[in-house]
Parts: sequence; structure tokens; C-alpha cells
Amino acid sequence: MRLEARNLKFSYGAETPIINGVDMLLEPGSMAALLGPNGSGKSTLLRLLCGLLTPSNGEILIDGRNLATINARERALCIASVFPGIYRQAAYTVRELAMMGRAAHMPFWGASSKDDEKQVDFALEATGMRPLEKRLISELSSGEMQRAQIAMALAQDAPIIMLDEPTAFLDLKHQMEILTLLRDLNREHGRSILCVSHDLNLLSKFFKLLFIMKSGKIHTQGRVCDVLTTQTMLDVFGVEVAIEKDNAGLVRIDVMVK
Amino acid sequence: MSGRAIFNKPLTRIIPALLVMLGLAFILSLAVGSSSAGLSDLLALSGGASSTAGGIILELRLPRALMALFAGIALASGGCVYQALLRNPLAEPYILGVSGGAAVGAIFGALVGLHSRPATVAMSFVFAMLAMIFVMRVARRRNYFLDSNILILAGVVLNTLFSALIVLFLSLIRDPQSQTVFFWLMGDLSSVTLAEAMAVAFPVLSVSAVLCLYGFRLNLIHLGEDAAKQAGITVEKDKWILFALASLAAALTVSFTGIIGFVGLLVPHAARRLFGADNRRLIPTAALCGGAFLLFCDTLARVVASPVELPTGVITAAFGVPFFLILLWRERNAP
Amino acid sequence: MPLFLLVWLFASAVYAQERTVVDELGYSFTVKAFPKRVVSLAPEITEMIFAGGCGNRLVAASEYSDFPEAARKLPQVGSYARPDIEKIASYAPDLVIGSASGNPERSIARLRELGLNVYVIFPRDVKGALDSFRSVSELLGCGEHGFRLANALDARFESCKALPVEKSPEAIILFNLDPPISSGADTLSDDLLSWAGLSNILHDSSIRYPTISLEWIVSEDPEFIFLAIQSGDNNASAAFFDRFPNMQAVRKKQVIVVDPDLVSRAGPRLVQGAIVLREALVKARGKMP
Repeated sequence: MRLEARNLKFSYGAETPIINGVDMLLEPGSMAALLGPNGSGKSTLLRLLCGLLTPSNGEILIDGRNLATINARERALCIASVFPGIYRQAAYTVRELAMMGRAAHMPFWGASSKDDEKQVDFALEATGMRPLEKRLISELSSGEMQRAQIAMALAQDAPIIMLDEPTAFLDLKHQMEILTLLRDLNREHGRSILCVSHDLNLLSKFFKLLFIMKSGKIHTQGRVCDVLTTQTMLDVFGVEVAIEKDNAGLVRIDVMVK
Repeated sequence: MSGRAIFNKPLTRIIPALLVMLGLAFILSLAVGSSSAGLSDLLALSGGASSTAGGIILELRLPRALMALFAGIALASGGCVYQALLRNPLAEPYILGVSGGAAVGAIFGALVGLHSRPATVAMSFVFAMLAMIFVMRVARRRNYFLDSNILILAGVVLNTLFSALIVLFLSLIRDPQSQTVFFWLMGDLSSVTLAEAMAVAFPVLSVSAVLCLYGFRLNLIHLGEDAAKQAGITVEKDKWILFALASLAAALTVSFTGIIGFVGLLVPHAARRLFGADNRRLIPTAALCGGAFLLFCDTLARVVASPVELPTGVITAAFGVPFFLILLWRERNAP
Repeated sequence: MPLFLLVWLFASAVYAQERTVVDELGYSFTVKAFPKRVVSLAPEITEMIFAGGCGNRLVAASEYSDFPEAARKLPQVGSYARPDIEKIASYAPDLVIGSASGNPERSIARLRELGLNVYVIFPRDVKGALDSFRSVSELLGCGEHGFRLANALDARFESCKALPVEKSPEAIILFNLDPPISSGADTLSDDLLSWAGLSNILHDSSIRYPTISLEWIVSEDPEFIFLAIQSGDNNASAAFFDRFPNMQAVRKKQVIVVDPDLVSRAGPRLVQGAIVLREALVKARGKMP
């Protein structure tokens, strides 16, 4: 499923637009990350792309269809997203959480079918949450919670999964877990992944495509090895870095501390 | 709102048990009162006998029992919805100014000389609905987005204003009239007629049925509005419908029964601990528990100080609070 | 004995300019012999004063002082439950007369703090009401008219009781219908019922004005139901019990609307109240052999 944004603009009120003319293209099966300094509009762009916000200008197309014309249920079948801000004290089990991801597949009153159960089983296994499925979400660690939310998005069975800083506040081990999971979802299960993140080093090892934002626009986009240059880092982040590429094409970024 | 359910059985086994309990509470309500009319008289009624005792049961106890049933259902199911939508354990259907509005309406009506029962009920309902509409309008943001925090704030502030108005009106009211109104303020099922109970039946039962159907969506919205929206739920529309329906049912019953507190607040909590937080299970079970609870409290109100009759609202508080404290106490060692 | 009392009173009334009085709660103070500016804090007190012939001494009265007709012209100084202290003080009365069964203690205390003379009556039953009537008349120096009237009323009460009555039929007085509010022990209306030869079914209630359940009234099935509703439509009240046609009072048409002021005000009209109640009983008995 192809996601395209054309001349997207958005502002919360009469103030300066947060998103000021974004054009981007996400091909099916992409493994993409969205970077940028704080305040560049990354989260807002993500919310626009998955339909949580309505753009003031421009359009978002899914396989050529305007997102604004698609109803909530259909949209859920195209794009699943994972945002922070889940009410952790809600007394639901991991399995119940994952099942909620099936909302677009179930009737109004939420009765689950065998197919729904199978999809949830699959989602829980893929995220390694099957052993924890009866645990309450309030009893999960941050890493487990993140995986549970990804299970929910996976159960939703949408070709595109968007995540807003899924590795924030996680320790290295858990960050690795999540990023590995996302990579597997992309490689083995064919989902398009679009991920907002800050972690430049890890990103460059897991993602193939980068969108770098600055001041409400896409400053640069393209393959990781092409886009991650010292000049880009200086332009966008105002920080001097040293970039090392190894034979495998993996990029390492070193910050220059004076 | 964390913790496991005490009764984890499937709904198909819980609902019949609750229905039986409800039926027993209803029969108890009909068979017990401050007079000696009892079970035998109740049974004699079905044989078509006409007697004083039969008259007592049909004319006086039956309308009350029905209204207690419907009010309990409305308040408890509404309470579940409010607590889920607002993510606030103290939320209940009166919170948006419905109770204060109803009280102000009734007292204001008495003040300007409207003493008849239909007038009081109508004034109550109108003021309750106006309060709700006002609060929802205040909390409405751009694109019809309903801000839950503003909703609570506006509702609480409005209720505070209403409390002041109630005190003011009560001080202005002529002594003889204040009796009826004062009793009503604390929850009074004694003035209910059979016609009123039947009038309330369909709206309350249909609203509660709809709320039950929304159980799954309510789970999602409760979990997170973004998460729900991205999963395909029309969150804003659902919120409007849910708030409006729950408040409507509450406003309707409060107009006839006065302010019966604690049912909307405590029954959902108790039901959640007993049957779990999944709203698909919670709303129907809480509704049935609410009906039974209010029936039981009303029976007590009529009997405990016989022949003096206490306002039902006093009993729901006196009874509900310790019951709930016991439930909380049981959990003291839980993580 | 009464004659001697009268003579003594006249003497003291004429010769004393000020005297010490003790009110019914035991509070003593000095007051002018013939107080010219009097304020009444309760409708029954207003009635007593007018009945005693001293109505012209009143400068102001509480709300609902609506009997006799002349009393309505008096300026109002707040209600029974909330006398308007400022207003009362502004009339600079020689004497204020209040009732302990209605006026709050604090208001009485406040008035006394302001230096006003307040005489408090506390009539607990019919005889007590008559005694208060006498006290008030004497206090104001109304002359013998008040006393004569009180004695006449007393006599009529006694004659009420003297009429032969076998077992007192059961009755109830309702002051409100929705919810039903009646009177229990130690109330004026309870006493009135027994004077009229009737037995209050709530006679043993420790709560003086309990809110009771309709169901209980229906099951107790008193012979007489007196509706002394203070607000609302009396015609509607009368039909209130029609849905229980098996009740004695309904069958025998003994659901009777009475003027609430006659049975709840501790004033001279209590006699009328007793007569109304008594007449109902007599009429009922008259129908039967």
C-alpha cells in the first residue's frame, strides 16, 4: 500500500503552520524513519499521515485515494499506529489489548471470531508477548508495554504501521528488541514501517529510508547511506558529527565534542 | 481500576444469576413494607382478589419497585460509561450538572407556585437537560472535539453553583412547601405512580441496551482516544452519543425520584471488581446490580424506621459506603 | 377564686407602672404595665392578642398572621422560623411576644441582647394554649375580656370531653400528602384529637412530626382522616385516598378537609378545631345506631 503526501500544511490555530508544505512518498514494504530536531513537526506529521489530524491544506493519498474520503474503519485497515499515552491503569490484559486492535474487523459490539483470535495469536507470537498474554497492562514493564502496543497494531492487520518514538525511555536492550521486531515485521511480514525517532545511531542500522524534517518541511529524504552526511547533520541539527561507513553499508555517527 | 475480577465466569452464566437476584429483590420489594401486606397477599393478587392489602401492593409498592429498578439500571449503566470515558473513578451521571439542575428545577418550580407533580417533574427534567447541554457546549472544542477535563470542570462548577442556588431557594420558600421538596432532594420514590414508572421504562431500557452495545468501543476509548481513533473507532461521535444518552437516562429518572446518590458511583466500581473491567461485561452486569441495589435500598427505606419513611437516598449512602469499603478492604494486600 | 384573681389583677394593673414578669420558660424581666407597642412573632400569638381585645396594641406581626382580618394590615417582621431582628428592633416595641415551639432560641436571645423585652410562651397542648392565652392577656393588661373568653373556651373544651364516647375511634391528621406528614406524641394536634374523643394512630410516635409511609396509613385503616394541608389544592387532597376504596374512612366518607390553622395554631381558635373534629365524630355516630 502506497502512502503519499502532497503539499501538506497544518497549523493548530492562526499561528505559524507546524507543517509547512510536506511532500513525501512511502512505497509498500518501506522501512522508514522520520527524524528531525524537536519542534520540527515529526509527531504532527505522523498524526496527519495516520488520519488523527486533518490537514489545513494539501492531501494524503493511499493507493491514490484521498485519506479524507476514507471512513475510520477502512482507514484502520490501511494504517495502524502506535502512540504513547495509553491509559496504563486500565484493567485490560495483553490479549484484550491486542484484540482491541481488531476493532476494524469486528462488528460494532466487538464480538470476536475465530479469525480474530488467530490474528491475535499471531500478533502476540510475533511480538513475543504470548507468554504474557494474561498479564494486565498495568503490570508490564515499559519494554513489554511497547511490544504489547505493537502487537495491537499488528493484530489490526494493516499494511502500514506508524510509530511515534517507540524506543523512547527504553534501555538499550529493549531498544534493540523493538527495533529488531520492527525490522522483522518489515522483512518477514511485509509491513511498511514509518517510525519517528531520535536515536540516530540505532536508526541507521535498522532503517533503510530516512525522512529528515526541519521547520515543518522535509529537508532531505532518501536512503540512509545517502542522506546521513555531515552537511545534513550540520544543517538540520546544528551539530558537527563524523560519519563512518563500513563495508556492509552501515553508518556510524560520532558526535564531535570539543 | 486495576485488579482481577472475582467472578471470571462467562456472561452467559453471570447474567442469569443476576437476573434471579434482581427478581428476588423485586419480589422482596413487593412483599415487604411498613404494613402487614406480605407474600401471601402478593400471591392472592394473581388470583384476582381485591383487598386493601392487594391495593397497597399494586398502588403503592409496584410503582416504586418499578421506578427503583429503572433508576438503578439507568444510574449504574450511566456510571460505567462516565467512569470509562472520563477515566475518573469519581465520575457518575450526576457529574455534568444533571442532579444540581434537576434539583434547581424542582425547587424553582415550587418557588413560583408549581406544586403539582407533573409540573415538578417537567421543571426538573428541563433544567437537568439544560445543564447538561450547557456543560457539553462549554467543553466543545474545534471540530466538535469534546474535552473531557473541561467537561468535568464545568460540571463540578455548575453543580456548586446549583448547590448555592438550592440553599438560596430553600431559604426563600414558604415553610409548608419545603417539606415535599426537601424530601425529594434526598431521593424520594414515594410519589411515583404506575404511569410514571411505565413512561420511564422504554427510554431507560433502550438507552441501557444501547450503552451495552457500545461496551467494546468504550473499552477502546477508555484505553486511549488516539489508540481508539487509529483502530477505526469514531471517537468524537461516540463520546457525544454516550454522554448524551447516559445523561438523558439520568436526567429522566432524577426528575421522578429526586437525587439518589451513590448508585451511579459505587455500583460500577463494585461490579468492576466482581466481574471485570471489560465494558461488554461490565455495563450489563452493573445495570442489573444497580437495579437490585436500589430495589433493596428502597425496601429498607420503607421498613427500617416504620412507620416513618426515610428518603431512599439516605439508605443508598448509608448502605453503599460500608459495602464499598469492605470491597476495598479485601484488596488491601493486592499489588 | 377567678373573681378574686380579677380584682387583684385590676388593682395591680392600675397601680403598678412597671412589674416583673416571668415567661413560660422561666425568664424574668420588667415590663410596663400596659405595653403600648407590641410585636408578635407567631400567628397564634397575634390571634391571642386580638381575641383578648388588645389588637390595637400590635405594631407588627410575623408572616401568616392572617387572622383576624385586621391582623393582615399589620406590617410583617419575618417568618415564624426566621424573625427579622432588625425590623423588629426598628419598631422600638415595649414588648415582643414569641413562641418557643417555633421561633429559634437564637432569635429570641438576639432580641434580648438588643435590649428588647421578649416574653416567650410554650404551649404544649390544648390546656397549655389556653393558659398561654390567659398569660398574654394578663401581660398586656387587656382587661377581663381575655380571661372571660379563655374560661369560656375552657368550658367548651370540657364539655367536649364530657360527651359520652365508648371506645375512641382511630384518626389521623395529615399536614402534607406527598410525602405524608402527620403528628405524633406531644403535639397540639395529637392532644386535640383526644379532646375531640378520637385516638391518634400515631400517638406513640416519638417523632413529633414524622414523615410516614402511605402504605402504613392504608393498612392501619383509621376511621377518620383529617387533611390539614397547608398548601395546594384542597379538592385534589380530598380525592387522594379514593384509590383505596376498601379503607373505612373512604367508604364512610370520613376523609375530611380541615383548615390547618384550626388544628395547628396554639391560639383561641383551637376550640373551633376541636369542634370540627368532634362534629365529624358525632355525625358519624349519628348515622349509626
